[in-house]
Formats: sequence, structure tokens, C-alpha cells
Amino acid sequence: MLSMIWRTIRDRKLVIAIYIIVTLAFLLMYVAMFPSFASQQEQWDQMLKSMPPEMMKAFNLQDYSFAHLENFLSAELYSITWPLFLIILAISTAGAAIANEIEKGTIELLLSVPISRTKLFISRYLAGALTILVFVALTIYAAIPLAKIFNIEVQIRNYSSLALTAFLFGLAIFSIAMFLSAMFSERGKVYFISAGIIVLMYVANIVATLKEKYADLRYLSFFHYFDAVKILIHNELDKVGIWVFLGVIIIFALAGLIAFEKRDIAT
Amino acid sequence: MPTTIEIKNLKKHFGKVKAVDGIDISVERGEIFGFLGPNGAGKTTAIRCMMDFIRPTAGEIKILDKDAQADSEVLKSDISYLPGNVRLYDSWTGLDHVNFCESFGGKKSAARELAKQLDLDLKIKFHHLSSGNKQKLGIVLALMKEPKLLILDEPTLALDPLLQNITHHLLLESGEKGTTVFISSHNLSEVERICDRVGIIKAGKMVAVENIKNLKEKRMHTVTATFVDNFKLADFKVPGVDKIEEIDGTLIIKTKGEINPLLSELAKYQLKDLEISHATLEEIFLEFYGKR
Repeated sequence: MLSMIWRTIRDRKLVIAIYIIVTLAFLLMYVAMFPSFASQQEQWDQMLKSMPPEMMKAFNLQDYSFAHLENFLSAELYSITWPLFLIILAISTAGAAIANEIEKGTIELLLSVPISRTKLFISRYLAGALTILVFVALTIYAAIPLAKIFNIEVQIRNYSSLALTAFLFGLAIFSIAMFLSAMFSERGKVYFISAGIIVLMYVANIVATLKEKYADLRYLSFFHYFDAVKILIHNELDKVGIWVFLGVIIIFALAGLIAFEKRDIAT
Repeated sequence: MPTTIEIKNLKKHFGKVKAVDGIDISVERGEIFGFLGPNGAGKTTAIRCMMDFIRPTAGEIKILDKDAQADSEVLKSDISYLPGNVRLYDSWTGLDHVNFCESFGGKKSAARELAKQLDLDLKIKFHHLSSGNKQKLGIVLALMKEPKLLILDEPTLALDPLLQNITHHLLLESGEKGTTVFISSHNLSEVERICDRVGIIKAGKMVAVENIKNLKEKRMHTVTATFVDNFKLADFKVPGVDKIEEIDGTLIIKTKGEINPLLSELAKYQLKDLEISHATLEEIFLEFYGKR
């Protein structure tokens, strides 16, 4: 099984490296930009106050400020761009894990060697989880040494809270996509349906923020539980969110395993 | 004689389509068993059930006295599988594939030896290989394990006659070493050449299980001969000749079974042209198994 995990990661090492390098480049850019914004903090804060409050609320920018690096990074990077990279990485990793193997016919090689379907699924799942863990750890904790280079103060504990929630957020998306990958024989379907679910969650969260009567919709959205602003600025861990992510991870990972065990695999 | 494969009442239905509909097969240890049938007869579906890629609707498959589904993981240490259209990882070299199979019990030294025999360069990436070389790599991966059972699904489909010969030779060699070989084909002459027994499948049902001698008696040829001089039609009414037709001085003769008596008669004449073709599997099925 270890050999299967290692080979899965080895095959995707270039893709993983590209995602990490591009995200680190964004992080470097924002950290490098921060001192110049911070020096004009008052003017920027005044400008932000003139923005429509509903819009700022909808896009979770109420705490947008240049007072601390965490305020800046949580709004500029970890609320939209960074989750987008993580979502794409999670879905593409899951799509490649099973559905792409069936689509390309290479699954026959994997099913011909002495490894059970359960072990095959678990090894692919663990390889994906490890990929997400490496991406999350590198692209969040890298902010700390980068901030030191630019003589910026950082709240180290807050980054650990963000990394934990972000890992569970990524793993929950990966688990849903893995379930779909175990169900379908074309990776296109995995990408399309997974992306559709994420877009619906994002929209549900915005609608819930804007309209009081739809407020409960937010509980259906991962974006409600992964609030980079609350975590990185205030170090507030959403315990309910963590349980929701853990529940989704367990349910969809098991459902994917059962679906893969039971299905016919014809290439 | 202990059996390697024991299939009882195997059924695989896809909705209303009965791809395999109640077949029984028994293959003895060390036997080379041909699984013959036209395209769409259910050969690949039956093989996929044996390999546990797909799950039967009903029936039982025992391989090496173990259940093909429940004991799939253990069984695959002793089984090698080769499809007709080998699909492997484009970005991997042959050696990467060999290393991968080695980590699951394959023997690298055997792979290198086979690659040498097949004149295959293992350093080339899979997507740079020609279709013939891709199939060669599939053969290397299947045989490097030195399995107890080789399951091959139309393995020579993409190969030229020379490579087909080499593959047949390797399969016969495996058979001599005690490996049981289960080979599906729609090529009658291939099956005749290497198999001990043949199971014939048509529309998802087993039509017959024949030993190879019986099958050879069912060979059909069409002989087209154009003569330099006059000929006597009666000379060609010899054993094995089924039907004779004359068109503008050319004889079209249909034979069943032994062809040599006819060839002996033809050799007595000066010929302008001679063409001998095998009957297609469909024609043979229609002739011998059509009414079953």
C-alpha cells in the first residue's frame, strides 16, 4: 500500500509543486506589499469605511484593515484566492485518483496486481490527504518566515488555527470529490459536479449573509465554517465547523469506499 | 486432474442485455484453453468477471480453488492478465512499469530477459511506443510474474504476424512450465495452433467445448483455382469437398475439414492462379453451431 501511495504522489509531484509555487508567489507578493500599505493605514481605513457595508459584509471584509498582516492576508489571500487554489487542487487530485484511471484504462493494471479495492481506495485517499496537508502547511506557515524577512510582526498561533481548519476544509472537499470519483468513470463528471456543489455553497453563504430570512442557508456552506478572517485575526476556532468537516470527511470517504468496492469497473 | 478454473452458471446482465447468460467452464491445471467467439459474444465480459473487474449477476467462479471475488487479492498473486489493447501510464517508461509490478511480486530479471527476447527497449516512455511495442510491454508485465494462471483477452489483436508467432511461442513455453493459459480469441487459426481445448461462446452462451482435433475437422476453406488448360470437374469431387462452382473457367471450391485430398488433385494440373482462404468464424458458427 505504501508503494501505491508513493507512486501516486510521485506521478503528481509536478502538479503539486506548481500549485504550491504559484500560491507561495501570491503569498510573497502580499507580504512584500504589506509594509507600504501599512504605512498609509489611516487613508486606506478611511477609504474602506466609505464602502457600502452590505457589500463588505457579503464578501466578509468587515475586518479589512492594514493594522496587522493577519487582517490583510485573511482578506486578500486566505478568503478567496487561496481557497480557490485549494479547491481546485482537491478536486483535481480526487478526479485523477480513480475516475481518470478508469477513463484512461490504466485501472486494469491496478486491479490486476495483488491489492484489494479497499487498499487501493485507501492508498489513493491517503495520497490525496497528504497532498492537501503539504499544500496547506507550506502555503500557510510560509507566511511566518516571509513576514520575518520583511520585519513584520505575526501571531504564530493564529496560523496554526488557520492551517487546521483549512486542512479539514480541503479534506472535506476532497472526500466529496473522491466519492464522485469512485462513482463515475469520467473525471469530467467529477470536476463538473464537485465544482457545482462548491459554487452552490459559496452562493448560499452570500445569500444567507445578505438576506435575513435565508440566514440558515449558511449552515449548508463550507464557507461559513471556514472563515479565514475570524481565525487569522481573532484566532476563533469554529468548533461546530470542525465537527461538520469531520462528519463530511468520514461520511463521504466511507461512501466512496463502498461505491468503489461494489461497482463494476469496465474500461 | 485438479482444475484451475471452475465456472458454474455464470451470468452477467447489463439491464436487459444478457452479455453472459449461464456459462460453465472447467479448465485443468497446465492446460491451454481457448475461449473462442465472435465479437460481442461475451468473452471479455466473462474474463472481466474472472478478474473481478465486474461482478457477476449470478453464478460461481473458482480459480485455483478460491473464490474469484472474495479471494481476489490473494488470487492475483498467482494470476497475470493481458488485454488485447494494453493501456498503461503514458508518462512512465517500460522500466517504471516493471518496477511497479516488481513491488507486487514480479521478477525484474524475468522482465529483462523477456524484453530482450521481444526486442523491447524498457527505457522508452509508454506514450512514445508503437502499438506493437505497447503490447510487447503488456506481455513482459504479464509473464514477469511467472504466474500459475495467465488470462489473456485477445492478446495478439494489435500484433503483426511475426509478433503473433513470438507471442504464441512464449505462451506455449509458459504452458510447458505448468502455467495454465486461458486465452480468448476470435481467430480460429490462433486457437488451433496453441490450445489443447476450446470453449465456444456465442451470444453469451457456451455453444460447445471441443478438443482441438474436433475443431480442426471443422475447418472450412474456400479454394479459388484458375487453370491453364481444360479440367475435369469430377476430379475435384474428393473427400472434404463440400461445394464446387465454376465461373468462366475458374473453380470456386468450398471444403470442410481436411484440405490435402483436394490439393493433391489440383497439383496434377497447371494453374494460372490459386487462392486459399479460411472461412470466417461467423461462417463456421453458422455451419456447425447455428442451429444450437
